[in-house]
Amino acid sequence: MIEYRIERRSGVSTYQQIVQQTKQALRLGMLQPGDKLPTAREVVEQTAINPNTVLKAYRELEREGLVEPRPGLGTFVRRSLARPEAAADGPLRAGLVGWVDEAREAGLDREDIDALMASVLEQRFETGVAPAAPNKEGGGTA
Amino acid sequence: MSTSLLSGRAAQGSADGPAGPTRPARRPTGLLWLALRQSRSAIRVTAALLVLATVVLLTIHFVVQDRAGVMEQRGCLDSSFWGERQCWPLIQRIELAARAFTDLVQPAVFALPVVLGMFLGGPLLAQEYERGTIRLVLAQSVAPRRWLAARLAVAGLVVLPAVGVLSLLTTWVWWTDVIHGPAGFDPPFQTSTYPALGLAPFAWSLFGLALGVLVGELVRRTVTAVLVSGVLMVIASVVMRLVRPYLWPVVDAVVPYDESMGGFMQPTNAWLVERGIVLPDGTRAPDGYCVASYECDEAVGAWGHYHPVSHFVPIQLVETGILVVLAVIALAVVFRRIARASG
Amino acid sequence: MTSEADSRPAVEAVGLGKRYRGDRWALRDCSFTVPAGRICGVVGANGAGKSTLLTLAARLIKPTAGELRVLGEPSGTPELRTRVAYVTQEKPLYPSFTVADTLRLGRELNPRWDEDVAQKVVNLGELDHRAKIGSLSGGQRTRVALAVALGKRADLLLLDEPMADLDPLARHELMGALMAEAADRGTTILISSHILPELDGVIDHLLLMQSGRIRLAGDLEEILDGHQLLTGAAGAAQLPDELAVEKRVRGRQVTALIRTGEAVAGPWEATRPSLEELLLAYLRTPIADRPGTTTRTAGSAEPDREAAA
Repeated sequence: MIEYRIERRSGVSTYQQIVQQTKQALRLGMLQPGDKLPTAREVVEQTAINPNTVLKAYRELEREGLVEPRPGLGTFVRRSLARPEAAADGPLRAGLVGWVDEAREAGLDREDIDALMASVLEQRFETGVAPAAPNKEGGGTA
Repeated sequence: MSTSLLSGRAAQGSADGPAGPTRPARRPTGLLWLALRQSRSAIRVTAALLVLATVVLLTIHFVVQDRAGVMEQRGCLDSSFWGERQCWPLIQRIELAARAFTDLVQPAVFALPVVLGMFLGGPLLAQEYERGTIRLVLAQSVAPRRWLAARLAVAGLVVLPAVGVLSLLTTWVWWTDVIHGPAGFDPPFQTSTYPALGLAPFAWSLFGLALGVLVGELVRRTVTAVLVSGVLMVIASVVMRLVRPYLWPVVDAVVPYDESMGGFMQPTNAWLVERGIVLPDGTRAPDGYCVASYECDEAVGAWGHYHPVSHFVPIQLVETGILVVLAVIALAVVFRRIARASG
Repeated sequence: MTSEADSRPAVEAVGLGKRYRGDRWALRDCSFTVPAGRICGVVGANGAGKSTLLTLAARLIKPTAGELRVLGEPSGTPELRTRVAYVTQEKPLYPSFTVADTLRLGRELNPRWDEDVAQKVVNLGELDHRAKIGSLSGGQRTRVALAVALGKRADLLLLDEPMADLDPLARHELMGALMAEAADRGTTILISSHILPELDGVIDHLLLMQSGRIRLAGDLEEILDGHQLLTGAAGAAQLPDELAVEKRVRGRQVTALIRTGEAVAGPWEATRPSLEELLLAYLRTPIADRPGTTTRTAGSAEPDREAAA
């Protein structure tokens, strides 16, 4: 079950925060197909936000084909956004772990690594030289 | 006051609501519960005062009866022996008890309606307005009129029977131990005696409550309501005292003029309203006419207007009627305003 | 939730006015609609008429002018009494009653009473049921007052500054309880508040009041979409003054809130205002001071467009 954290002063509307956090959970595999989303009542009781906002966010997720309402039961996840390549035991992650260890041995601290990563990400995605455009629609595999 | 008003919960549409835990059928519910809860301290104070008053009155009664019995044994009942050594302490004891009645109990009963108007009637609505709690009640599912009816009915049904019992006891002690006691002198029409006897405490308490509630509804401030109710009750008592002789036709009597008596004398315990002399030409002159005048030497008679003791009950009935009508008017105004306040 | 298929609005005012004894109009010429199922913020400065509006909707006073339909009823009916709950700003309770007595008052006087909801609200505050109301703190009293209102299971909940004396934790938790009630039953809520952030994320409908009049009324998203916050250099370009709600100059920079969803020509950086930015801009400019507009257009600045939603 996902628990939403609503940040009032972030400048992002509460409705978008719910959509984004749901997608994040789908990406990280915290939500799997068949999982039930919390009911609007559960969300608003915990976050004290407008129930209509929650329903609107769920409708948006439904329109994107990520979830589906089952009358009388609740809203359920239809498909995942998780990529096996990014999973905890995937080769990409292992490669990155190795690279970070290397960087630390070379004397970089956490902030240096952060800055380096950000800079590289900026460069690679900005210029469009990435192997494939990072479309938010991932592969359909779970 | 219909019974459904007091026992019914806010009735309509209860089909979809859980009725709460099932409770024994006899316990008060709905508005009756609220009115009883709101009257809780009034109920306690009333009960305590009633017990206290009963104890005091019974004590007076038994002291008088006991001493009277002893006096009879010792042959002291006839007032001509009162100067004797063995009678004097006995009669003193009785006088003390009678004085406790006339100087303590009677004024207290006399003042009771004023106190009730001030401290029960006045705050009844004024406090609701002052604290804003009337809005709490009006925000619930009950009609304002029904709430007020229950509230007044409970307050009235708690206090008025207690006043009735008190009045009954007071009248009984007055009758057996004071006016018919061995050393009693307390004519019923006296200003402080009349309001403590018979129907008067009851009628005045009803009126005091209604007046206090009306004042509370109008001024909406507790302290102001208490003070204004008190002042109005005192004014009402004074006005009624002035009007009282005319509530029932007086007895008009003319007796032969007797210089030694100095004018008209009413019968025992009667209430003399007005008196004077009758001149030789048959005209009636008022009481003060004889001062600095020789005409009175030729007076042929003395006249008087008075209420005999037998007028006591009719006068009280008329007065009660007036007070009940005034109370009903006051409460009608309150109900009208309460109903109009909310749309 | 029943947000779109409602036929009857929860509250509907036409030319509504209220004058208290004397000559002062507390409320004047108010026309607006709050659809059923909405959570509507009633916002305005002190004395703007918020409490008067809520008291009128609760049928505790009568309007001097105009018409106010509540849940479709043009005037108070016994049935309406069971369907509307109202918590006034002062949250009056009987000080000599215990917490349990006060909840019992709600139970005895309301046929639709829900003991569980009321108990839950009280118990979350860890209140002793035997405690006298008079011995409670302001925040605890507020909790009990809200418990009575929620236990009533009303269709319309009128809350006048409900959260003012609550600590942040209690505020969050009670707002959560209110929202849960709305989610469960589609309850319409009218909530007035001074604390603007308290309303952000909570309300989806807005009544902005100023000097006894309605300055803005309507769906919150539509209102926000219909405004832009422009930032630019002073003197660089002419602002569309007739649309400006508020214009502030800081050194060489101009910030303005304008009332249009259309793009504005010129070297302006345009953003969608947040609720707080919008409200503050309106509250800072009294009706009479508004550049380029009259009171009349202000009153109908944002007509309801529920049919289009």
